[in-house]
Amino acid sequence: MQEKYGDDVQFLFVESQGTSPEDTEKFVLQKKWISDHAIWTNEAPFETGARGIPHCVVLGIDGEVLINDNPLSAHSAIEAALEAQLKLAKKGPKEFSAPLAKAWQDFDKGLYAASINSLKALPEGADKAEGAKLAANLESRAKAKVNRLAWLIEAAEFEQADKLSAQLSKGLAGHALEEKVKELAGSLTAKDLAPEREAAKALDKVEKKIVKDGVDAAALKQLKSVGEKFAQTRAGKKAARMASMLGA
Amino acid sequence: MALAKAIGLAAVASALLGGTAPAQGKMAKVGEKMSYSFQEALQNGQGVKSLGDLAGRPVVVEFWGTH
Repeated sequence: MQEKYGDDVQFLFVESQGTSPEDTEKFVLQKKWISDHAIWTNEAPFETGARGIPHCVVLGIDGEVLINDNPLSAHSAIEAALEAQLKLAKKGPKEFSAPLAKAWQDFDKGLYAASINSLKALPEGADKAEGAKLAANLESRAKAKVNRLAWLIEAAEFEQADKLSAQLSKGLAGHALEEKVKELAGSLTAKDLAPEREAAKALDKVEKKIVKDGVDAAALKQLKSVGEKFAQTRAGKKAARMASMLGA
Repeated sequence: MALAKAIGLAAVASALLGGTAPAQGKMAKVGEKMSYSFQEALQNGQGVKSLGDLAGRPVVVEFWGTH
């Protein structure tokens, strides 16, 4: 399902048997349950009422619970709910008036500032209050995207960071978040980032091997080697940590 | 980065596992909107600190185990 939906659907895995975060991370690495976008935690954000696992809760684009069920028996219902939500994510809720729907769709196309500004500029009238509410919602989503860019840079995920940086630089021009985006984009092109990028590339190569062949002796050796060669970089430290966790 | 894919395995593999989700916070009832701010940093967190940060995309929250 993760492969099918990619970045359009957020997957959040909650470890529910009391395993420590470190052991969970090790388990995830060993099982190759790693994804560019899936997030893991040991912290349940809510109760499900379920007595066993696996268990799955599907949240709509506004956080509404759509399904609370076993993911195996409810597989078809989950897929149908996701498809409907993906359509909604593109077009916006049916009850939206034309200006609100356009703002929503513009945001989806990456025109973040234009979308938010159009809502703020709505004249007094029936749409004004709903427009303000939607503008606040989209502001929050734009901020989450900027936070994600900061995280990607910190995590040495430069390939994704480059793409998101370009997208945000264009889409948030003229918005209050523009300065923050410029600062982050500037850090991505800084000369002193070259060793970090080189290390990230080396780690990426080993990770690809792990996805293909699993965690074997050769992969552990390579992880250790990346960790030693790029010891002063974020990716190097990540490689060393992975090697240590996986038993090198 | 590169360690992508294979998440679908989680559902299949965790079907073999037992266990219960920890009781914590609000009950996820169909039709209700959920909000939650995470206390701990998320793994591969993508800058996410709350469920609200995920708004605009559908979210699949899967409860699984390592035993």
